[in-house]
Amino acid sequence: MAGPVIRAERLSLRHGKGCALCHAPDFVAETNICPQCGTVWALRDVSFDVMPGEVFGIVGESGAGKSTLIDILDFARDPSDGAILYAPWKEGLVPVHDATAQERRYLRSFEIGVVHQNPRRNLMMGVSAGGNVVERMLAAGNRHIGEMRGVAGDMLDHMELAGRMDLKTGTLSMGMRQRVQIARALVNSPKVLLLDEPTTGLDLSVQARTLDLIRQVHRRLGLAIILVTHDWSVLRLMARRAIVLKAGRVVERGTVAQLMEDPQAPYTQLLVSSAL
Amino acid sequence: MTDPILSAQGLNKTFVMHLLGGRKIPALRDVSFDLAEGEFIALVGRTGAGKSTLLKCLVQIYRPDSGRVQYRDRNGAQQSLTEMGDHALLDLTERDFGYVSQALSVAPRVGALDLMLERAVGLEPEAARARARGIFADLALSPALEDVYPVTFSGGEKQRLNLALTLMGAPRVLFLDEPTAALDPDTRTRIVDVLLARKRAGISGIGIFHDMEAVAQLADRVLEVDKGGIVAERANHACTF
Ligand SMILES: Nc1ncnc2c1ncn2[C@@H]1O[C@H](COP(=O)(O)OP(=O)(O)OP(=O)(O)O)[C@@H](O)[C@H]1O
Ligand SMILES: [Mg+2]
Ligand SMILES: [Zn+2]
Repeated sequence: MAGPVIRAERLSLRHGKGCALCHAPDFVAETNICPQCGTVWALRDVSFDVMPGEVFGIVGESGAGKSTLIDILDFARDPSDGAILYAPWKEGLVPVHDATAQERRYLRSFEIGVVHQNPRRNLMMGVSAGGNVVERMLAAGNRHIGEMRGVAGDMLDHMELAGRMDLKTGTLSMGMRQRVQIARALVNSPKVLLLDEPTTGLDLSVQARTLDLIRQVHRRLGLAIILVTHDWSVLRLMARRAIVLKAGRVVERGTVAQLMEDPQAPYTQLLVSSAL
Repeated sequence: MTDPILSAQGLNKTFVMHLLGGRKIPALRDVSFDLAEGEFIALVGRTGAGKSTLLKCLVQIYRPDSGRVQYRDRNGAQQSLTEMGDHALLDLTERDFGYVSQALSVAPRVGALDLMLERAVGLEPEAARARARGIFADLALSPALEDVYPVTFSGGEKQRLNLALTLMGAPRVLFLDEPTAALDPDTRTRIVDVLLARKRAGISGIGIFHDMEAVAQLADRVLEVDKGGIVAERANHACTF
């Protein structure tokens, strides 16, 4: 059996130096703030494996550390401790912190695509939808403008944005911007797609359509998806396995059915019982 | 004698409700039984007895507190479902188990037949479509429903679509939570016929039934569940309802 594509190994991200108390391996606290030194542990000892072609969920409320985790998985920032191991790149699972700056650029351009919760982090609002997609191909070293326009146009067609290629991104609706982000994330055929709350804040009908497009992409390309969400119905529809994050820590892990039907941790029980 | 296809050994399950001050709800106690290959077992018992909990503990939607569930896979190897990693567990159960719950949960705005086609593995599109249509018709679902979003289905239609989705794959063991509840007698007969055909093809099953006619037709053995335990067992031919 093939091994994981990506592994998070005891990731921690702290804001502050920490002290003897909060660095102790068995340190636990109610919040992610050390009561002694005030260091914020945005993530603490987070581990998981994602298998090729699987949709893996990360669940938690705001402030749980989900977007921080996405940034680390996107190599936009380094963890304070722990490692990301990544497989398709070289033989076997390789820790990414060993990579050179150039290798990291390669990973971010070709191996990993990201859709941020806030489209402004990925998209230039004053540039056309097509331009935003082409920009990513340029970043990957492509120089043939006609070819790039063709590929970008196809990607946008798949995202049901046919005919919108030359419209300024800032004039598009939220749902469309989200789909431009997805087209952009997919254009260099990554092996892992990171989705940070891809449908939060969208109207329900737009949400259903966006999720359907993501499902189609997943079936067609067979890539692994890491999906951050606080919405259990989105999780159930999309993902097979998940972790539940609270104050930067994994409080529970399992299949989505297990987490939803037989939650064990008090926090998971609270979240599941609060779902509509 | 060959090993059973599925074996439950000393299953216990107690729910701990943290939101209610840690209240404990015992649901299964020391449940053991074997399912032989090709056998159908009917679970009967009062409401709240623990029948659905038992099915979910078998397929690992609920994690038993103690005890084991052993499964003999297609290659004859014993797999311990209670000790397996969750990724391997899903690979195995998605391929080999057909669990049909009472609730339908499917993608919004996808038609019924398309949902079935998503489950077709290793079939050419035309063959998959023919198979899906066939199952649809066998379960007495009207062809007019094929492209309808299931959100508008009646209770009985949803229930049958759930079974249809499961039958699109090639499960070796069926786990059925009241597959004939809420159906009129004619439709119920159709479902029982479909299940009987699967049984004749060598599929094993365990199901919860309140309908004694279905039990009489389908089950080789009846296990009675009460207060989370198996309190009686009888071979079906020996019983009269
Ligand atoms: N996820 C859960 N969390 C807490 N308690 C649960 C859970 N699932 C079941 N129970 C409890 O376990 C007991 C057994 O329930 P179960 O659903 O297994 O009964 P059943 O025999 O299938 O009943 P019915 O015939 O009404 O479907 C009940 O007291 C139920 O409230
Ligand atoms: Mg039940
Ligand atoms: Zn500290």
